[in-house]
Amino acid sequence: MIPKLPILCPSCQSTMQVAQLNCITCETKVSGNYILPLLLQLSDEEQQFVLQFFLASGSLKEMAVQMRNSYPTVRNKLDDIISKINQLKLK
Amino acid sequence: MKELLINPFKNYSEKKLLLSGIIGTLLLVLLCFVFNTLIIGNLKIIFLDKILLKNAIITNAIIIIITTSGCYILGKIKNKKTRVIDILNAVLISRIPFCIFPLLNVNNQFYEISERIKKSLIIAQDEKMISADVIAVLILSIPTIFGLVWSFRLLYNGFKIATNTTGQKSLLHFIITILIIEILTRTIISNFL
Repeated sequence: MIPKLPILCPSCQSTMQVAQLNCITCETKVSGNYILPLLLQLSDEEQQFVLQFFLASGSLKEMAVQMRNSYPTVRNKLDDIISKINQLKLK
Repeated sequence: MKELLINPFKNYSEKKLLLSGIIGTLLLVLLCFVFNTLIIGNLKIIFLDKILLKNAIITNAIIIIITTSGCYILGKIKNKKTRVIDILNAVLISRIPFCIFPLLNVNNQFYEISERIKKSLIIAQDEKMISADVIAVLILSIPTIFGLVWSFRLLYNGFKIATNTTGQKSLLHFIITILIIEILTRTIISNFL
């Protein structure tokens, strides 16, 4: 099982930050406060959607066929993600 | 199954929806002609002694054109990405439940009952017969209300997906638009007939 990257604090629901990075080969550890990139601040489902959009060469029609959803449903999901990213950029 | 009946716009492609909508509309026009039913708005149905096929076609066409135009204008105001095909599909699919209404007038039964009630208001008649007619009208009204609610739900769900709008404010704007469309449709149809 691949553990999910928690993006929100389970206690206060604030956005989490990266505090430590480990090298799995030599076990070097780097500590600090690193803000998660915008795309990683999206939910798992939204990240999957963005990846699928990229793999479909940005064709919403092709995505709609792949996802078995209608075109406006897929376009609305994309619009929602765009507005969420714009909000995250303002934070 | 529930999604297919209430919100087919979420999963089905515009081509499938358009084809279903056109078939539904043709069926509705045919049923209106066969069972002498005139739909003169999104909220008003009248049963007559006899109607012409021409009138059944034109009244349905007027309603579809005005409703699509009105909802499209509101949709464009709400979201510039709104497409006319999605609004047209919502309008056509939302009219499929209307196919229930002409079936209430098989053998002109609804028309005859309503005529008897109208006459009884002018000339005093057998009270037992009148009350039986009123009960019959009330029973036949149940599927009418069900059909209208189902149709409105379909239209609003289709509109929501076409425009990506949610919330009570959006619902209020949609209801106001439907009422304006209703007034406009009835005025145009009554001038035409």
